[in-house]
Amino acid sequence: MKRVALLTILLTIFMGLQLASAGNLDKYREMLNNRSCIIKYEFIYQDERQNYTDDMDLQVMKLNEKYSANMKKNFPGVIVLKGDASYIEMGEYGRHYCEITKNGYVYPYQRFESEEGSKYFGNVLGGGFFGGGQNRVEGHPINALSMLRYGQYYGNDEITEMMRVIRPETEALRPGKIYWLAGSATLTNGINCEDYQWAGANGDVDLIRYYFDNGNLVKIASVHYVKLADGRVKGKHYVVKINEFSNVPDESYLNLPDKLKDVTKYGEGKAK
Amino acid sequence: MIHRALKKIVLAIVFAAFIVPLPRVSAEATCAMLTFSDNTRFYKIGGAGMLSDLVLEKLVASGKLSFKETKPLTGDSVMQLYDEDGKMYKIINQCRATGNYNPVFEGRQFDTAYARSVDLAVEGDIVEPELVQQIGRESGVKYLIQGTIDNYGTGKGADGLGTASMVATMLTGIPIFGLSSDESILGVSCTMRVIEAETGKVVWLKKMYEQASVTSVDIGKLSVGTDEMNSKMYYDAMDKVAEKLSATFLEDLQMHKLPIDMGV
Repeated sequence: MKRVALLTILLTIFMGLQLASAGNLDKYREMLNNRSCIIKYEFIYQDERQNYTDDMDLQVMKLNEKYSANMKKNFPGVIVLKGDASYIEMGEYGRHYCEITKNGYVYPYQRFESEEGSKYFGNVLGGGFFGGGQNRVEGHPINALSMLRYGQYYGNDEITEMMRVIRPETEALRPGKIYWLAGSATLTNGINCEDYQWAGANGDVDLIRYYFDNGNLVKIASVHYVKLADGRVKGKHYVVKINEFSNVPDESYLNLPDKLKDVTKYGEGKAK
Repeated sequence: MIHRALKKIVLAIVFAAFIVPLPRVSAEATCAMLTFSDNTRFYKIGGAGMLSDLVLEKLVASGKLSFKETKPLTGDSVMQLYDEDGKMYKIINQCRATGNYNPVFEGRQFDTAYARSVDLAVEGDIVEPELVQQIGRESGVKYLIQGTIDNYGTGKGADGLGTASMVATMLTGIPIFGLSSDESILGVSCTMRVIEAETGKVVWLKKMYEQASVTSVDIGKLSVGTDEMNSKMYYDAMDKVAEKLSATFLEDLQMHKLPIDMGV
């Protein structure tokens, strides 16, 4: 029993030292802690194995016949944190899903890029079907319970996981997987890497590699493998290219675009 | 009596040999077919084996290609080709033991020139070159035909009879009630590729979708037929998609959209 306790203490110290030595991520952890940063990234190689699930609609299957493979496209994304306010954006096929959070309200809207310029569609009833949601957005109160449970969400599950390794949600009720520093390396092109891993009792394993060029985070890659009940293994891979990660948030992202009208009924009705 | 019957059988075989085109299985065969893979959760049904058999049968019957084998290849190398996740998982565990994760992140699985898996390889991607070369060597062919079942889908068709009776009622003014039909549809979506054995490069790819259906007709309380899914419907859908795949493949071969030394 004493041996187990001693081993646990030594392991904890070892892991603590490992985390403490992860110097390259410190400044980014600081930015996320201070909630003062801008991150511009691109999903340059989304997981190919993420097939459209089966039991799907036949019409969708017919449409998919036109595509050469079941792959999702790469997409750009933006994350801005400034105190309690935030801006999350993810773009796909010319459509950008945007969400501004400030003053206790969340404003979700979509931006379409075309040759005629940007078009905005908010969440107002009609959702753009008859042009109802065009240029109009209605804020709804933030989901405080979700923040309390899981912490900050950064756009999609994978980006969130990658950010939560940098800044673990230790205060959240359900902080999620705890990764530890598993190794580091310097590649032949001079890029430094830090590898973090999580391993489940049943053989599931997650690895995330952070790439640094002269101390600046330039890329994140991850693999997630799960062991299925029948003994097979299924894996997912992601790569995110970091175009910008700085502590100077562009505050213009935190304001609704000029074309988009805020129709929130503050102090009455739904948003009360 | 027995002698006469035997004579008839022998004559029938000789006659059949002249009129039934035999598969072209020659020493100079250029291609071989791999047993298809099934990327759905229904892989245990064995649909991949059935589909590859059907496609091969149709291609061989066309007489346009010379195949090394008249059975899809199912050897260890082929099974290894389909287990890219298992291989990667082993590499991950080796890396975890050594603390060096370069083989995971700097290997082929993260190189965009290589396909992440043969199931999802697109035209121009390179698929496990060493393993593909090995399969090519073992089977003595230049090209490998490979396919994947991407998806199965089920759905309901429109109530054609019900709609027709409603329209007839409106047009004639004679009320026609109690007529309806139920259609159950099963769809199969799959991909077929041609891989160059020497390089592992995917040189041709087509994605296909086909469906089969069964319909029951209800006249009042009387019901004719069934709209229950059944194995015949499954076979029909597979046969249709195999027909479409092989026809497209042969058409592209004729149009020289495939490597010229494949045949035609």
